[in-house]
Amino acid sequence: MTHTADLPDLAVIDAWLDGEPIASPDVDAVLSTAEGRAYAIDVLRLRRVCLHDPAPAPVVRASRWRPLAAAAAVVVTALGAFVAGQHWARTGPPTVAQATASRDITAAPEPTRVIQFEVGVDWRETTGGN
Amino acid sequence: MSTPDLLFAEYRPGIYRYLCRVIGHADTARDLTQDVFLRVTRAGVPDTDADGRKAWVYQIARNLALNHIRDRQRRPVSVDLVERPSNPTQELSVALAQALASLGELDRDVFLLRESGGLSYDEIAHTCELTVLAVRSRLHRTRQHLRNILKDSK
Repeated sequence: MTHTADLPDLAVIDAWLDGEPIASPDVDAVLSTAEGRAYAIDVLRLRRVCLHDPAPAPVVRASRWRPLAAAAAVVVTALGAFVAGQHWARTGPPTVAQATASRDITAAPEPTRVIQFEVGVDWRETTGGN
Repeated sequence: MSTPDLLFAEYRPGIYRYLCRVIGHADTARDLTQDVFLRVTRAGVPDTDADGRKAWVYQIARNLALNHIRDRQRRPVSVDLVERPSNPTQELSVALAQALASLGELDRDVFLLRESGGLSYDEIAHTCELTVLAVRSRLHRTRQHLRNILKDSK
């Protein structure tokens, strides 16, 4: 038996509920008080939660940068739209001719390989489909 | 003499519960539980009594958990989903998780080794390298602290 005279009263309840050796009269004395009984109930309640719900929902804190990033994206988008609108208000939207003026879309691309044929040397004419 | 298989069968549920509470994430706790028994298998079971073996296995679990928490603290973590507790038990569970997060590492471990792992004061003392008296007083102080926090959160 553990001598419990030097322990605070409620620690007797701890030892008792934890299955540690403890003197019965000490437990009786503490359990005869309302505070002792309330403490015992709270310890058992804590134990119940620890034993029966091993994977609680994580303590969740949303990242504090996320709202800031979202607000920044909105501001940048609005600013970009405003600047584009200002530019078009001055110059008007580009026409098809303006849009295609920078490149000649009718010119054929440069050949990448040139093959020369000589008539009579490697020239063969066939008739018909085959 | 126990084999790793026997230790696994005997201690896996308690180790998993303990790791779940310390880490706060079931999948990670499951992985770490596997790691614990992988280490047990590699290291070989020490030739001591049952209490000593239990304390040894929990010491491995505690070290892995502490390493994991330290690694996690080095990386910025943000959790995007907000899950609201759906019943009073879950509510209490989330409140407990928050209260545990406010504790010191050693107080939290002493408490969880007792409540989730079911270790005796002597086994906790072995695992955390404390005296039995220190375990007793830390446990009592932690329970009082948690009790006050949970009362205030009601």
